[in-house]
Amino acid sequence: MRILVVEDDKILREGLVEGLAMEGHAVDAVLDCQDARAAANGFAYDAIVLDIGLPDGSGLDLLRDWRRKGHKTPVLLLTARNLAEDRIAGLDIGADDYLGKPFDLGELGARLRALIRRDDGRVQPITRIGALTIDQSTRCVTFSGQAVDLSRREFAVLEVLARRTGNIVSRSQIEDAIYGWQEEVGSNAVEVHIHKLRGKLDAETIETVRGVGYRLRRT
Amino acid sequence: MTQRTPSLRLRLFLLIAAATTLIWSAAAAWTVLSARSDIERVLDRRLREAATMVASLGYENAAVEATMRVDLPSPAVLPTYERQLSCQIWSVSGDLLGLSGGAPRQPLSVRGEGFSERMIDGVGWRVFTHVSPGTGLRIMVGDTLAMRRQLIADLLEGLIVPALIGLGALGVLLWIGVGRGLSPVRRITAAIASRRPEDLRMLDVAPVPRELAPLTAEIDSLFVRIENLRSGERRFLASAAHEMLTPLAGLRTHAEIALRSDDRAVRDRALKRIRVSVDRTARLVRQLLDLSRQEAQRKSGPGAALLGTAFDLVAQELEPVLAKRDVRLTITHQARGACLPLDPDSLFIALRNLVENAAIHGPREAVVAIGACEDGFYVEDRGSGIAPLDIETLLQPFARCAAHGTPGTGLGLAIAKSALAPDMALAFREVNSGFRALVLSKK
Repeated sequence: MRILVVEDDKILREGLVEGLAMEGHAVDAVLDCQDARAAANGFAYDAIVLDIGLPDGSGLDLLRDWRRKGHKTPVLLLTARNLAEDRIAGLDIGADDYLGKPFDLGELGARLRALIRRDDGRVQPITRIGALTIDQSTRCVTFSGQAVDLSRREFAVLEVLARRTGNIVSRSQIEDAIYGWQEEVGSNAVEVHIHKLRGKLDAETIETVRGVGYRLRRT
Repeated sequence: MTQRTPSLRLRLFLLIAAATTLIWSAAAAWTVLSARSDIERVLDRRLREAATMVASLGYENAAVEATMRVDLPSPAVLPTYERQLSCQIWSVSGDLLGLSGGAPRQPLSVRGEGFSERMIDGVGWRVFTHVSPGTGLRIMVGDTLAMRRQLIADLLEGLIVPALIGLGALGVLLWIGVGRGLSPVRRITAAIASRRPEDLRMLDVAPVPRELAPLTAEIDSLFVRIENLRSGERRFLASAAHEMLTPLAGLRTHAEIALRSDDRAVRDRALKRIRVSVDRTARLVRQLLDLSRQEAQRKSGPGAALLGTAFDLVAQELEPVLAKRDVRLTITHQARGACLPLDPDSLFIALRNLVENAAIHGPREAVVAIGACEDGFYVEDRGSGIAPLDIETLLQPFARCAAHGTPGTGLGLAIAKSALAPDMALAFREVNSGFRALVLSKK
């Protein structure tokens, strides 16, 4: 999943980028409202982690502006203002979740997964597609009842395909979902991941639609 | 400790009672003197009229015998004191022709026509003597002085006693009245006393008498000022919490990354960031303590401190920061000897924050110079400085400007400003060689 982090504190921002990447997300990070607007307009993120106190304005104002303009991306507010009234104000403005600083990286990851799951209209963290079972909370995958060991990138590619099961997902869509801005993407990186996935699942599960992209079959 | 003073009720009562008693006493004294004079005049007139009346009865033609006793009618001027009025009729030759009951046989007066006083057998008499022009008969009508005094005393007693009773009743009414008049004060006092400390709403004590309206208005105004102050403190605390929790969140995040990762490079990177975060948190805590100390010292008077001494301490304390950014700190000879009207601690705090700001936000491998100017001193760096529109913002605690990408706590300039005496100012100026923060005396 691709996440946008809006946080002005450099150390925390770097920590969020690294920590969420370890959770399997592709993360872009900006430090102020202006860059956050540009980033959100340029790409459809799966979720946004938004700090309230930003150098050029309030994260709450930014969120209000997004919601007024119809942006529906799930937003998790991340702030040191932990009073109930602050939380209520944030949620009323349009935030989908609220996490006070300092926080547990695991909890942040779980909350983001829950937000994205709800946004996809799913209730459970476990997705079953034929013989394939994907548990997003534990990041465990089984195929025909056998555990499959996937790398972070392989899991991310499978997750992107699983969210659009039966539909074609282009290579660039997969790249956008699994790589952040500052990550170098090899020209055949996606093909390599798909190849490895086919080897660990079976060759039929992921279909190549020539010249268009890839499709996860409902078998 | 508050000195105990008499109650307002008692003070008002005593003031009004004293004024009333004074006026009543003056009026009573005037009444006594006036009444005594009037009574004396009335009694004298009574003597004169009685003598004239006896003379008009025709005793001039009566047989003149030494032993003769004439029963004179008793003049009925004042029934109560009627028997005290005595009358004698004396012939030209000095014989007593007649006398009234109770009158002595000795002449009531040895003087001629008119009023006189005489002691007879230890009894004082005031007498009017009428000399009949035709026969030379002398008619003497007199009162005993004791009777007259008694009459005056009785009359005055009739005036004074009700007055004293009235005065007492007035005192009681005054005490009750003043108490009732002060009831709005008690109402306002009770309203304030029953409040919880955090309740800073305006007083709801209407109706308020005109004299107390300025007091309640000032109390309400004070509540508003306290509320504003508390709001400022709440904002400051919230900002301080945010500023503290953000680096702590960074610390925790990188600690978790270090714990989770097997990659040595990732762990090393996380640990370095933890170190940076700890340094920044420590700096923030130190600055918060500085600010708190400055707030506590705000009441102390002006001092005197040498800039050179403060410079040496700052150079020593900031040595790691300066070394890390390869910044050289210099001071001019004139500035080293400059004496500023600040206590040494405040000067040290102001200088340290200005130098730290210049070192962190200015360029690396540069010089931060401290020099003296006419009204104070300056800290000059080679940086691009602060935009004029951002200066006011940056003087507020925890304020940062979007243009500044450098990490700061947002407290440095606010602390430097708070460390200065009220008659000193912090100013900023672009110069050819860079940017100056100036500490100037307003005098």
